[in-house]
Amino acid sequence: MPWYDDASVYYGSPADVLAQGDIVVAATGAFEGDSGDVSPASPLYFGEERLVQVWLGSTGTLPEAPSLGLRARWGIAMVLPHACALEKEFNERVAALMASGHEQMEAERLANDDVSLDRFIALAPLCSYGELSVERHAGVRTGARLGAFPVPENVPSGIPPAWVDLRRISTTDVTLVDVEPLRLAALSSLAQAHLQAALAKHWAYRDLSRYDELQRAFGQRIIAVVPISTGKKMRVGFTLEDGTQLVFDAADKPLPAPSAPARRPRPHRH
Amino acid sequence: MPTTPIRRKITKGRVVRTPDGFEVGQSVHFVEVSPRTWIMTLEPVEEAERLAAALPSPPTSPWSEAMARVKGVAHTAGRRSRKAGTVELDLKTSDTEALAIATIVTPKRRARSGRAVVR
Repeated sequence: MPWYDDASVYYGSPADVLAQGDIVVAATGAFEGDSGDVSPASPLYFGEERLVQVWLGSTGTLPEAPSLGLRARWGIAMVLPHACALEKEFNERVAALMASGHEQMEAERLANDDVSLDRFIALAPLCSYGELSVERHAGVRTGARLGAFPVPENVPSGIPPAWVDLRRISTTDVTLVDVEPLRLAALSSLAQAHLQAALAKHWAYRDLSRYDELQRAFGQRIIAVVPISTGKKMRVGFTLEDGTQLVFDAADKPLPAPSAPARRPRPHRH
Repeated sequence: MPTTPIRRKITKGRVVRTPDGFEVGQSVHFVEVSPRTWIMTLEPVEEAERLAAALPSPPTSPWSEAMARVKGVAHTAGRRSRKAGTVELDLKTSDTEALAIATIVTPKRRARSGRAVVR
Protein backbone atom coordinates (compact mmCIF):
# COMPACT_ATOMS: atom_id res chain seq x y z
CA MET A 1 0.00 0.00 0.00
CA PRO A 2 1.28 3.52 -0.71
CA TRP A 3 2.33 5.84 2.11
CA TYR A 4 -0.92 7.79 2.17
CA ASP A 5 -3.04 4.68 2.67
CA ASP A 6 -0.93 2.75 5.15
CA ALA A 7 -0.91 4.03 8.72
CA SER A 8 2.06 1.81 9.59
CA VAL A 9 4.12 3.58 6.91
CA TYR A 10 2.67 7.06 7.41
CA TYR A 11 2.97 7.35 11.20
CA GLY A 12 6.24 7.13 13.09
CA SER A 13 7.72 7.30 16.56
CA PRO A 14 7.40 10.71 18.20
CA ALA A 15 10.55 12.70 18.90
CA ASP A 16 11.33 14.01 22.38
CA VAL A 17 10.49 17.49 21.19
CA LEU A 18 8.01 18.99 18.75
CA ALA A 19 8.81 18.00 15.16
CA GLN A 20 7.65 18.67 11.63
CA GLY A 21 4.45 16.82 10.85
CA ASP A 22 3.43 16.30 14.47
CA ILE A 23 -0.34 16.22 14.81
CA VAL A 24 -1.41 18.29 17.79
CA VAL A 25 -4.50 19.76 19.41
CA ALA A 26 -4.37 23.48 18.72
CA ALA A 27 -6.19 26.59 17.61
CA THR A 28 -5.77 27.86 14.06
CA GLY A 29 -7.36 30.83 12.38
CA ALA A 30 -7.76 33.07 9.38
CA PHE A 31 -8.58 36.75 9.23
CA GLU A 32 -11.78 37.66 7.45
CA GLY A 33 -13.23 40.99 6.48
CA ASP A 34 -16.44 40.34 8.33
CA SER A 35 -16.80 41.78 11.80
CA GLY A 36 -18.01 38.59 13.48
CA ASP A 37 -19.31 38.30 17.02
CA VAL A 38 -17.86 38.42 20.46
CA SER A 39 -17.49 34.83 21.61
CA PRO A 40 -16.62 34.53 25.28
CA ALA A 41 -17.01 30.77 25.61
CA SER A 42 -14.40 28.33 24.34
CA PRO A 43 -15.37 25.76 21.72
CA LEU A 44 -16.24 22.36 23.15
CA TYR A 45 -15.69 20.22 20.08
CA PHE A 46 -12.84 19.64 17.65
CA GLY A 47 -13.53 21.22 14.29
CA GLU A 48 -15.69 23.96 15.85
CA GLU A 49 -15.16 27.40 14.31
CA ARG A 50 -16.04 30.85 15.62
CA LEU A 51 -16.04 34.05 13.63
CA VAL A 52 -14.97 36.52 16.30
CA GLN A 53 -14.63 40.25 16.02
CA VAL A 54 -11.07 41.52 16.23
CA TRP A 55 -11.85 45.21 15.77
CA LEU A 56 -14.45 47.46 14.26
CA GLY A 57 -13.66 50.24 11.80
CA SER A 58 -15.51 53.52 12.06
CA THR A 59 -14.34 55.75 9.21
CA GLY A 60 -14.04 53.29 6.33
CA THR A 61 -10.96 55.12 5.11
CA LEU A 62 -7.20 54.75 5.44
CA PRO A 63 -5.10 54.95 7.51
CA GLU A 64 -7.64 53.32 9.81
CA ALA A 65 -7.84 49.55 9.37
CA PRO A 66 -11.10 48.09 8.10
CA SER A 67 -13.36 46.01 10.34
CA LEU A 68 -11.74 42.68 10.89
CA GLY A 69 -12.90 39.28 12.05
CA LEU A 70 -11.00 36.12 12.86
CA ARG A 71 -12.38 32.73 11.95
CA ALA A 72 -10.82 30.72 14.75
CA ARG A 73 -10.92 26.93 14.70
CA TRP A 74 -10.34 24.58 17.59
CA GLY A 75 -9.23 21.09 16.77
CA ILE A 76 -6.41 19.06 15.35
CA ALA A 77 -3.57 20.64 13.39
CA MET A 78 -0.24 19.70 11.84
CA VAL A 79 3.11 21.29 12.70
CA LEU A 80 4.66 22.51 9.46
CA PRO A 81 8.17 23.94 10.06
CA HIS A 82 11.25 21.78 9.87
CA ALA A 83 13.11 21.24 13.17
CA CYS A 84 15.86 23.61 11.98
CA ALA A 85 13.30 26.40 11.74
CA LEU A 86 11.50 25.41 14.94
CA GLU A 87 14.65 25.62 17.06
CA LYS A 88 16.93 28.05 15.22
CA GLU A 89 17.14 30.79 17.85
CA PHE A 90 17.22 28.23 20.66
CA ASN A 91 20.18 26.40 19.11
CA GLU A 92 21.98 29.68 18.47
CA ARG A 93 21.54 30.67 22.13
CA VAL A 94 22.78 27.28 23.37
CA ALA A 95 25.84 27.56 21.11
CA ALA A 96 26.52 31.10 22.34
CA LEU A 97 26.16 30.08 26.00
CA MET A 98 28.48 27.10 25.52
CA ALA A 99 30.99 29.34 23.76
CA SER A 100 30.93 31.59 26.81
CA GLY A 101 31.82 28.67 29.11
CA HIS A 102 28.50 27.04 30.12
CA GLU A 103 28.11 23.27 30.12
CA GLN A 104 25.57 22.00 27.57
CA MET A 105 22.91 21.03 30.16
CA GLU A 106 23.19 24.42 31.82
CA ALA A 107 23.11 26.15 28.43
CA GLU A 108 19.97 24.19 27.46
CA ARG A 109 18.31 25.07 30.77
CA LEU A 110 19.05 28.77 30.35
CA ALA A 111 17.89 28.76 26.73
CA ASN A 112 14.73 26.83 27.64
CA ASP A 113 13.92 29.52 30.19
CA ASP A 114 13.96 32.22 27.50
CA VAL A 115 10.40 32.30 26.17
CA SER A 116 11.29 34.80 23.47
CA LEU A 117 13.27 32.28 21.42
CA ASP A 118 11.51 30.78 18.38
CA ARG A 119 8.23 32.14 19.66
CA PHE A 120 6.05 31.39 16.67
CA ILE A 121 5.03 28.19 14.99
CA ALA A 122 3.11 27.59 11.77
CA LEU A 123 0.20 25.18 11.94
CA ALA A 124 -2.40 24.05 9.45
CA PRO A 125 -5.75 22.55 10.46
CA LEU A 126 -6.78 18.96 9.84
CA CYS A 127 -10.10 18.89 8.05
CA SER A 128 -12.57 16.07 7.56
CA TYR A 129 -13.49 14.82 4.11
CA GLY A 130 -17.00 16.06 4.81
CA GLU A 131 -15.60 19.59 4.39
CA LEU A 132 -14.44 18.80 0.85
CA SER A 133 -16.40 18.30 -2.34
CA VAL A 134 -16.57 14.65 -3.32
CA GLU A 135 -14.83 15.08 -6.68
CA ARG A 136 -11.70 16.26 -4.86
CA HIS A 137 -11.49 13.39 -2.39
CA ALA A 138 -9.31 11.13 -4.56
CA GLY A 139 -6.78 13.85 -5.41
CA VAL A 140 -6.43 14.88 -1.79
CA ARG A 141 -6.37 11.34 -0.40
CA THR A 142 -3.53 10.33 -2.73
CA GLY A 143 -1.48 13.48 -2.08
CA ALA A 144 -1.82 14.64 -5.67
CA ARG A 145 -3.75 17.85 -5.03
CA LEU A 146 -1.67 20.96 -4.41
CA GLY A 147 -2.58 22.80 -1.23
CA ALA A 148 -3.64 19.68 0.63
CA PHE A 149 -1.83 16.90 2.47
CA PRO A 150 -3.50 13.58 3.25
CA VAL A 151 -3.79 12.10 6.74
CA PRO A 152 -4.84 8.44 6.98
CA GLU A 153 -6.79 7.11 9.93
CA ASN A 154 -4.81 6.67 13.13
CA VAL A 155 -6.75 4.32 15.38
CA PRO A 156 -4.69 4.73 18.59
CA SER A 157 -5.24 8.50 18.65
CA GLY A 158 -8.73 8.44 17.15
CA ILE A 159 -7.74 10.58 14.16
CA PRO A 160 -10.17 9.84 11.31
CA PRO A 161 -9.17 9.87 7.62
CA ALA A 162 -8.51 13.58 7.15
CA TRP A 163 -6.46 16.12 5.23
CA VAL A 164 -4.36 19.14 6.08
CA ASP A 165 -5.48 22.39 4.48
CA LEU A 166 -2.20 24.09 3.48
CA ARG A 167 -4.16 27.18 2.39
CA ARG A 168 -5.13 27.86 5.99
CA ILE A 169 -1.72 27.96 7.62
CA SER A 170 -1.69 30.18 10.67
CA THR A 171 0.87 31.40 13.17
CA THR A 172 0.50 30.47 16.80
CA ASP A 173 2.45 31.26 19.93
CA VAL A 174 4.43 28.11 20.53
CA THR A 175 3.65 28.10 24.24
CA LEU A 176 0.14 26.99 23.25
CA VAL A 177 1.48 23.84 21.60
CA ASP A 178 3.32 21.26 23.63
CA VAL A 179 4.15 17.62 22.97
CA GLU A 180 2.56 16.71 26.30
CA PRO A 181 -0.36 16.39 26.34
CA LEU A 182 -1.29 17.92 23.01
CA ARG A 183 0.55 15.72 20.50
CA LEU A 184 -1.65 12.94 19.16
CA ALA A 185 0.62 11.43 16.52
CA ALA A 186 3.93 11.88 14.69
CA LEU A 187 4.94 11.22 11.10
CA SER A 188 7.45 8.72 9.75
CA SER A 189 10.52 10.00 7.90
CA LEU A 190 8.87 9.06 4.60
CA ALA A 191 5.68 10.97 5.38
CA GLN A 192 7.77 13.95 6.55
CA ALA A 193 9.54 13.89 3.17
CA HIS A 194 6.18 13.90 1.39
CA LEU A 195 5.05 16.78 3.61
CA GLN A 196 8.16 18.78 2.67
CA ALA A 197 7.49 18.09 -1.01
CA ALA A 198 3.86 19.15 -0.58
CA LEU A 199 4.93 22.38 1.12
CA ALA A 200 7.49 23.16 -1.59
CA LYS A 201 4.98 22.47 -4.34
CA HIS A 202 2.26 24.57 -2.73
CA TRP A 203 4.26 27.53 -1.39
CA ALA A 204 6.81 27.88 -4.16
CA TYR A 205 4.66 26.49 -6.98
CA ARG A 206 7.54 24.11 -7.33
CA ASP A 207 6.54 21.52 -9.88
CA LEU A 208 8.75 18.67 -8.72
CA SER A 209 7.23 16.31 -11.26
CA ARG A 210 8.82 18.23 -14.14
CA TYR A 211 12.22 17.82 -12.56
CA ASP A 212 11.54 14.12 -12.18
CA GLU A 213 10.36 13.91 -15.78
CA LEU A 214 13.55 15.56 -16.98
CA GLN A 215 15.66 13.13 -14.99
CA ARG A 216 13.71 10.20 -16.37
CA ALA A 217 14.18 11.58 -19.89
CA PHE A 218 17.94 11.90 -19.33
CA GLY A 219 18.10 8.50 -17.69
CA GLN A 220 20.06 9.74 -14.70
CA ARG A 221 20.13 12.40 -12.01
CA ILE A 222 20.70 16.04 -12.85
CA ILE A 223 23.37 17.40 -10.50
CA ALA A 224 23.53 20.99 -11.82
CA VAL A 225 21.45 23.34 -13.93
CA VAL A 226 23.24 26.50 -15.08
CA PRO A 227 21.68 29.36 -17.08
CA ILE A 228 24.43 30.21 -19.59
CA SER A 229 22.58 33.11 -21.08
CA THR A 230 19.15 34.56 -20.52
CA GLY A 231 17.00 37.08 -22.33
CA LYS A 232 15.99 36.65 -25.96
CA LYS A 233 18.34 33.76 -26.65
CA MET A 234 18.08 31.57 -23.60
CA ARG A 235 20.69 28.85 -23.16
CA VAL A 236 20.78 26.45 -20.22
CA GLY A 237 23.40 23.88 -19.33
CA PHE A 238 22.64 20.59 -17.55
CA THR A 239 25.28 18.47 -15.84
CA LEU A 240 24.34 14.84 -15.32
CA GLU A 241 25.56 12.42 -12.69
CA ASP A 242 28.09 10.74 -15.01
CA GLY A 243 29.58 14.12 -15.93
CA THR A 244 27.74 14.52 -19.25
CA GLN A 245 27.18 18.18 -20.15
CA LEU A 246 24.05 19.08 -22.09
CA VAL A 247 23.37 22.58 -23.41
CA PHE A 248 19.90 23.59 -24.56
CA ASP A 249 19.18 26.62 -26.72
CA ALA A 250 15.77 28.25 -26.80
CA ALA A 251 14.01 27.85 -30.16
CA ASP A 252 13.98 30.89 -32.45
CA LYS A 253 10.23 30.58 -32.86
CA PRO A 254 8.93 29.21 -29.60
CA LEU A 255 5.46 27.77 -29.41
CA PRO A 256 2.93 30.12 -27.84
CA ALA A 257 2.53 29.53 -24.14
CA PRO A 258 -0.84 28.15 -23.06
CA SER A 259 -3.07 31.00 -21.99
CA ALA A 260 -3.93 31.18 -18.32
CA PRO A 261 -7.52 31.66 -17.24
CA ALA A 262 -8.05 35.25 -16.13
CA ARG A 263 -9.90 35.82 -12.90
CA ARG A 264 -11.78 38.95 -11.95
CA PRO A 265 -10.48 40.92 -9.00
CA ARG A 266 -12.06 39.77 -5.77
CA PRO A 267 -14.75 42.04 -4.39
CA HIS A 268 -13.57 44.42 -1.73
CA ARG A 269 -15.08 43.45 1.61
CA HIS A 270 -14.47 46.30 3.98
CA MET B 1 -22.78 4.04 13.24
CA PRO B 2 -25.51 3.24 15.80
CA THR B 3 -27.01 6.27 17.43
CA THR B 4 -27.25 6.41 21.21
CA PRO B 5 -30.40 8.01 22.62
CA ILE B 6 -29.49 11.26 24.31
CA ARG B 7 -30.66 11.80 27.86
CA ARG B 8 -31.07 15.54 28.14
CA LYS B 9 -30.88 17.32 31.47
CA ILE B 10 -33.90 19.23 32.69
CA THR B 11 -33.63 21.59 35.64
CA LYS B 12 -36.02 23.94 37.38
CA GLY B 13 -35.51 27.67 37.51
CA ARG B 14 -37.26 30.94 38.14
CA VAL B 15 -37.40 34.02 35.93
CA VAL B 16 -35.53 36.94 37.48
CA ARG B 17 -35.50 39.20 34.45
CA THR B 18 -38.10 39.42 31.76
CA PRO B 19 -37.18 38.17 28.34
CA ASP B 20 -40.01 38.23 25.80
CA GLY B 21 -42.91 36.01 26.83
CA PHE B 22 -41.92 35.61 30.49
CA GLU B 23 -42.73 37.41 33.70
CA VAL B 24 -40.65 37.84 36.84
CA GLY B 25 -41.31 35.11 39.37
CA GLN B 26 -42.59 32.49 36.92
CA SER B 27 -41.41 28.89 37.36
CA VAL B 28 -39.68 27.51 34.31
CA HIS B 29 -37.85 24.41 33.17
CA PHE B 30 -34.52 24.38 31.34
CA VAL B 31 -33.91 21.69 28.73
CA GLU B 32 -30.27 21.07 27.87
CA VAL B 33 -29.60 21.20 24.13
CA SER B 34 -25.82 21.11 24.43
CA PRO B 35 -23.42 21.67 27.36
CA ARG B 36 -23.77 25.43 26.97
CA THR B 37 -27.18 25.80 25.36
CA TRP B 38 -30.48 25.48 27.17
CA ILE B 39 -34.08 26.07 26.19
CA MET B 40 -36.22 27.79 28.82
CA THR B 41 -39.87 26.79 28.84
CA LEU B 42 -42.96 27.52 30.94
CA GLU B 43 -44.27 24.02 30.22
CA PRO B 44 -44.56 21.50 33.10
CA VAL B 45 -41.78 18.96 33.49
CA GLU B 46 -43.61 16.24 31.53
CA GLU B 47 -43.99 18.54 28.56
CA ALA B 48 -40.37 19.66 28.90
CA GLU B 49 -39.31 16.01 28.76
CA ARG B 50 -41.38 15.49 25.62
CA LEU B 51 -39.76 18.59 24.14
CA ALA B 52 -36.32 17.27 25.05
CA ALA B 53 -37.05 13.91 23.43
CA ALA B 54 -38.19 15.62 20.25
CA LEU B 55 -35.02 17.67 19.83
CA PRO B 56 -32.78 16.40 17.04
CA SER B 57 -29.58 14.66 18.06
CA PRO B 58 -26.39 16.64 17.48
CA PRO B 59 -24.56 15.58 14.31
CA THR B 60 -21.95 12.88 14.73
CA SER B 61 -18.51 14.48 14.64
CA PRO B 62 -15.69 12.85 12.68
CA TRP B 63 -13.45 13.97 15.54
CA SER B 64 -15.43 12.28 18.33
CA GLU B 65 -12.91 9.42 18.72
CA ALA B 66 -9.98 11.84 18.99
CA MET B 67 -11.91 13.97 21.49
CA ALA B 68 -12.70 10.89 23.57
CA ARG B 69 -8.98 10.02 23.77
CA VAL B 70 -8.01 13.36 25.29
CA LYS B 71 -11.16 14.13 27.28
CA GLY B 72 -10.37 15.34 30.78
CA VAL B 73 -6.69 16.03 30.16
CA ALA B 74 -5.81 19.35 31.78
CA HIS B 75 -4.47 22.22 29.71
CA THR B 76 -0.91 23.16 30.51
CA ALA B 77 0.69 26.52 30.11
CA GLY B 78 4.30 27.41 29.67
CA ARG B 79 7.24 26.87 27.46
CA ARG B 80 7.88 23.44 25.96
CA SER B 81 11.20 21.85 26.78
CA ARG B 82 13.74 21.56 24.01
CA LYS B 83 17.08 19.90 23.43
CA ALA B 84 19.95 21.51 21.61
CA GLY B 85 20.77 20.51 18.05
CA THR B 86 23.00 21.86 15.35
CA VAL B 87 22.60 25.50 14.44
CA GLU B 88 21.18 25.98 10.98
CA LEU B 89 23.53 28.49 9.41
CA ASP B 90 22.24 31.40 7.38
CA LEU B 91 23.05 30.78 3.75
CA LYS B 92 23.07 33.02 0.73
CA THR B 93 21.32 31.72 -2.36
CA SER B 94 23.05 32.24 -5.66
CA ASP B 95 21.12 33.09 -8.82
CA THR B 96 21.98 29.65 -10.13
CA GLU B 97 20.59 27.90 -7.07
CA ALA B 98 17.48 30.04 -7.11
CA LEU B 99 16.85 29.33 -10.78
CA ALA B 100 17.47 25.63 -10.26
CA ILE B 101 14.83 25.54 -7.56
CA ALA B 102 12.33 27.88 -9.18
CA THR B 103 9.48 26.95 -11.43
CA ILE B 104 9.04 29.69 -13.99
CA VAL B 105 5.32 29.88 -14.62
CA THR B 106 4.97 32.58 -17.25
CA PRO B 107 7.19 35.32 -18.65
CA LYS B 108 4.30 37.80 -18.61
CA ARG B 109 3.00 39.37 -15.46
CA ARG B 110 -0.62 40.23 -15.10
CA ALA B 111 -1.99 43.08 -13.06
CA ARG B 112 -1.85 42.68 -9.29
CA SER B 113 -5.58 42.15 -9.15
CA GLY B 114 -5.24 39.03 -11.30
CA ARG B 115 -4.59 35.62 -9.85
CA ALA B 116 -1.92 33.08 -10.63
CA VAL B 117 -2.52 30.03 -12.74
CA VAL B 118 -4.38 27.29 -10.91
CA ARG B 119 -2.27 24.14 -11.07
